[in-house]
Amino acid sequence: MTTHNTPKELSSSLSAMFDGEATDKDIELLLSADSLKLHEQLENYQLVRSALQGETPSTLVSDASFFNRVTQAIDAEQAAKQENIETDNVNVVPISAVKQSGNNSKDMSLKTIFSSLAIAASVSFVVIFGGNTLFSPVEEGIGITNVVGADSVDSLEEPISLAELELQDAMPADNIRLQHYLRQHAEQSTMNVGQGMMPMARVVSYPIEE
Amino acid sequence: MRHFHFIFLLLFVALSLFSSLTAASDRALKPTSNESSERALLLLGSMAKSFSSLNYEGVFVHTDSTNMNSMRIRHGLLQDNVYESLEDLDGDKLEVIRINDTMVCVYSDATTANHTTPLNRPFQRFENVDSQRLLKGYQITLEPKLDRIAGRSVQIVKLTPKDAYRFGHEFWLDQENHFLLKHDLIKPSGQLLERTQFASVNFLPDLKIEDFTPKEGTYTKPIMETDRKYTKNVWHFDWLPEGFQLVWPEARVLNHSTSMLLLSDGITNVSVFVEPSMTSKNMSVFRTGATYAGETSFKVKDQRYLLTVVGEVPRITIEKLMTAFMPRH
Repeated sequence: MTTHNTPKELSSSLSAMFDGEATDKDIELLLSADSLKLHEQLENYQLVRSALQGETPSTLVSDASFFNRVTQAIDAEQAAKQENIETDNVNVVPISAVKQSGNNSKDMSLKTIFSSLAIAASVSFVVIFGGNTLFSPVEEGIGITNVVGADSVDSLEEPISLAELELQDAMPADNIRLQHYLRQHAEQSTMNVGQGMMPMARVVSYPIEE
Repeated sequence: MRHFHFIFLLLFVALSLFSSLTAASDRALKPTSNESSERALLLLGSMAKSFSSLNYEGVFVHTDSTNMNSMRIRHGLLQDNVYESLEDLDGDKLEVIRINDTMVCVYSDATTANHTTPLNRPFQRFENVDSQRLLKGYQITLEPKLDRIAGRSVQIVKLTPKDAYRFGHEFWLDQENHFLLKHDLIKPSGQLLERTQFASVNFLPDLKIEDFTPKEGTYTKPIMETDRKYTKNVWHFDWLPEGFQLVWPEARVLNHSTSMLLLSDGITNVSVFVEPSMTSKNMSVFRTGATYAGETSFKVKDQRYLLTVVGEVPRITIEKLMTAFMPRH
């Protein structure tokens, strides 16, 4: 469903979304907006932002339209989620409930779009504002990071935060044997690396189940 | 005419002297890479000695990607006895006090003590830097610029790894006594893994025996020195990173039939633990701060063993060492 909203209203809602201040009304308006208008507005919005920050818009938009990439990512995620929902229904939910799922699909779809748009917004936020920080004249080389940020739109289905990456191989706190070996190792370091007792400082950081 | 010759000769000598002095001063200001490396190695040796030869009291901060702890370290010679202590200022996990060869672990209460594996060896000192071994693994340089840490002027020694099997080190050493005031452990990518930095240090501390007495209400556990047991090392590595070698020719025996081997490249240690095991375990690598630990099991004839490798080295080194570990034939 699309409605005819004024560019000013769209702009205001987009701005609110980018600033993390979007109300329910803003989200509704964006969801119901004509996709082409939204596309144009988004590009304009981005250009204005870029100009304000003295960036080269082409770097951010790249060869494919930024909006299209976001839309594609949303579509892909939406399709994948719907596929998952259907699979789950077939496996778990009785036949009568499968029929109901058709009625719920619109709600699910809206929720999916909402969450996808929110994710997409956050990604685009990173791209745009990341660009502002990273594309400084002194550090042009770091701009590559920004491209990676844009590419990450394609892998929205499994977002992993940096904190999670850090924890993926975190030392298990319940492995008493390993704890013991870590301490043995720290002790030996005090004798062999010429830094006095200082390597023992690591022992305090070792995880302990308490 | 004779005067003219004499003046000419005098000018020539003066110019020669000036140019040689300028060249010498240039050399002094800009040491060659060999000279820089030699000086850096001397400083590292001096740093190692300073930990036992100096009296000091200081507070340092130890940080890694997830933890930050401030600790107090004290070291002094009191009534002909060596006292040393390391105290965690941010928690109640650890305080270690050493008086000569007797070590006491101090805990906030008995429960904490039961949770924590006690340390079971007094600290000894390594005071010699194996220059040749270090040079195999690192490019060692002395930074020409001085810096300032904990209010003291410092020289910076950099150890840049020559391969991907070890991390880089940067040492900020006190310009006067070469005590280590800051140490960074750095990934080859330049990412900081771990930093230890003094916030304050006093090399003329007014230390008293009471400073090394556990606080009232704490739970202490004297650690009895037991004879170190060694056994024949029946294991070997098919591959070792350049410069790494076994520190002990034999294997140290720990509890429960565990053998411990120690590898070092002169500045970085890798501890290896091997023990008989009933269960199979796939290779897994964990990390805490700059320390990586890998576990895996393997079979020799009918006996299964569990291998654990721990060290401040990259994950790839831990993994390669685990695959290169095998019985000695």
